[in-house]
Amino acid sequence: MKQRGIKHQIAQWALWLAASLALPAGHAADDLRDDIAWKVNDPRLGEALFSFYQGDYFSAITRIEASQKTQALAEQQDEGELLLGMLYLSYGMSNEAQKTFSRLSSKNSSPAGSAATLYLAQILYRRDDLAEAEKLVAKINENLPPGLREKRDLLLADILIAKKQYAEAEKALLRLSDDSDEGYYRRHNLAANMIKAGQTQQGLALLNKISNTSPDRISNNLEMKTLQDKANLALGYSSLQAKKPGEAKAYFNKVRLDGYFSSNALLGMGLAEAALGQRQRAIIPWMELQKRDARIPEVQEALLAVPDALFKLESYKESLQHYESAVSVYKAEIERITSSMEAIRAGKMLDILGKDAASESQWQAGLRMLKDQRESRYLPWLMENPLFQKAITLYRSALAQQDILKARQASLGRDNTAAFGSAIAQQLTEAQTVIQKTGTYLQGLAMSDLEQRKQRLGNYLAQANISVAQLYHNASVRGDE
Amino acid sequence: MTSITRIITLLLLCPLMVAGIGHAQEISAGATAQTLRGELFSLDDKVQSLQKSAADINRDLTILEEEAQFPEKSRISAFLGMDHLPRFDLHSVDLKLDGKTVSAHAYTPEEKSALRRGGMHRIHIGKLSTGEHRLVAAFTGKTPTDPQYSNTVSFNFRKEQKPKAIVLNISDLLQDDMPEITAREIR
Repeated sequence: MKQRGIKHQIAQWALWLAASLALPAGHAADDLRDDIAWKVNDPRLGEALFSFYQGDYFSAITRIEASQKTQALAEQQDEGELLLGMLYLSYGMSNEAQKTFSRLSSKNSSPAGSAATLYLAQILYRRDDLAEAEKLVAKINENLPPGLREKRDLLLADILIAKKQYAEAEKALLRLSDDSDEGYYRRHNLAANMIKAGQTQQGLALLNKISNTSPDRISNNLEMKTLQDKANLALGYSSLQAKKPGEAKAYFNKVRLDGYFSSNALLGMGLAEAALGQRQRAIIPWMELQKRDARIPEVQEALLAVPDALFKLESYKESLQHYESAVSVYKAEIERITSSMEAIRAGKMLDILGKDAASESQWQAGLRMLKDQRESRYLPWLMENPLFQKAITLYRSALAQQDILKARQASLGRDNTAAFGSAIAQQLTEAQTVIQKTGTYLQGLAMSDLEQRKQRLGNYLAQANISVAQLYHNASVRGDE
Repeated sequence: MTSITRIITLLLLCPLMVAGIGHAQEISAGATAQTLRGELFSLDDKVQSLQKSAADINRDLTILEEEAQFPEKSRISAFLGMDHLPRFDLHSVDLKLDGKTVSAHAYTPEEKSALRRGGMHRIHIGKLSTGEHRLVAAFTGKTPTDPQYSNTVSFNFRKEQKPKAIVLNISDLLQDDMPEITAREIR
């Protein structure tokens, strides 16, 4: 560990947000706004772009669709179609985006057509249609706008990784700029997949490259620092598994103490020391870990690891104290989980997740300000699950549609707009059903995760209780007070 | 599961989610995860269908409302565009049509950024009778040499019995760091 003093006051929310930044495109739509340098002649295209660049995708969709329907967007039809597809994708409407890009992709000889082909390939890749996605990527020619060329190379690497063609993927990644953040993510993914497929040495070599990235390259880049921490942590635990605790220590030392993965690193450092036979030294990082938030799984493990090490060092009295302390922490945490589950069952978590449905930035600002409440206590951990993240997006999107439809319903006059009343009412009913189902799904995921947490803590508690009983028994046998 | 195995599983066998939810099985293995994934895809389809319906309704109502308020024959629109001028900071635009103020807008940083990237702001939509008209646009902002830059552009045009759009554009035609304002008609 870098000896700069352990910060106990971890702002878990800030860390979650930092880590979520390090997971591109997993839980939210890509930000496509920097992809293309638009040349605008038609003000209707420009008007839609004005909303697009401010993140108001729904308004931009309305402008483009209205212009298309009234045949007003005459001058830049292909660009309008491309922008519409990008807007659909940004707004989470990948089905409509696929249809739009398919239409435009046939005009592959134009820059707009080439861009559409790339976006279509991305959609198909995400739907696991790897063969079709690869075919489309091969079709893309040099008309592709410059801002998308790196995305094409990255997509090809993604496809090759998914097809387990790791050597080809590595070659594709070599074509990317060394300075590309996205390239680093792909190298990490490639390494992870290689190790999973048994190509351990090649995978570890790639992780080592990330680990040895120059500090100049990643200074002030939180995402890259988090990725480097993750690589170091993976290398550390791999070294531990390979029974090379000395090497493991060196990797754990590289993990930032104020980063998202610091608790994992502290646990690993103790394990490495213990594997070297240095139990006294192993206790130091575990003691630091014990002082941290009891919701963190590594902290829960450290609560047992410390007294276990003390027992092995024959410090029985101290060991007993730590086991008893662990028992009370586990009991309190189990109670808190039970209380959180009650709040979630009562729908309070959904109140938080559905707040400010029309404004993502406002909602995220609100999350940062959340106090430690029953319904929100475990959200940072729940949000690590990509299914949970996606379900939140859907839940909020359904709520946003409900708001739009209600506003439209309220604006209907007695003129020819009145005819829309029944269509809006029907969609509002549908919205209510989808909101309810998505909410139930989110609650189910949360309850299942918390139940697992509770069970894990229950096991730890049982272990701690047995150890306490054994220590008392041993003490009585020895005739200790 | 031991600590080491659990953490290695977490770190190594779970690639970062670059592939998106489509490869979420990397994270959650097993039949339960597959069921959950299936449910999520079904919900995704339902939400997308709802989004499509809301977008269609909004589009059709927008067209009807605009047609009712500003019939095509008398419709006049004015748009503002801006080239990428990193050293010009636009503050506001006031628009007068035949001497009457029809729009006054102060730009937020987000709006200015959108303009620099190719976005166009529709600063006015209204009704106008057939005949000769005069549009006057007053700009304020900041240039490297003038913290209180202001400029006015006048544009005479004839309105026929069909929609008219006028585009005002801020550019650096002389490349001297001073914004130049031009106006052109569409249609």
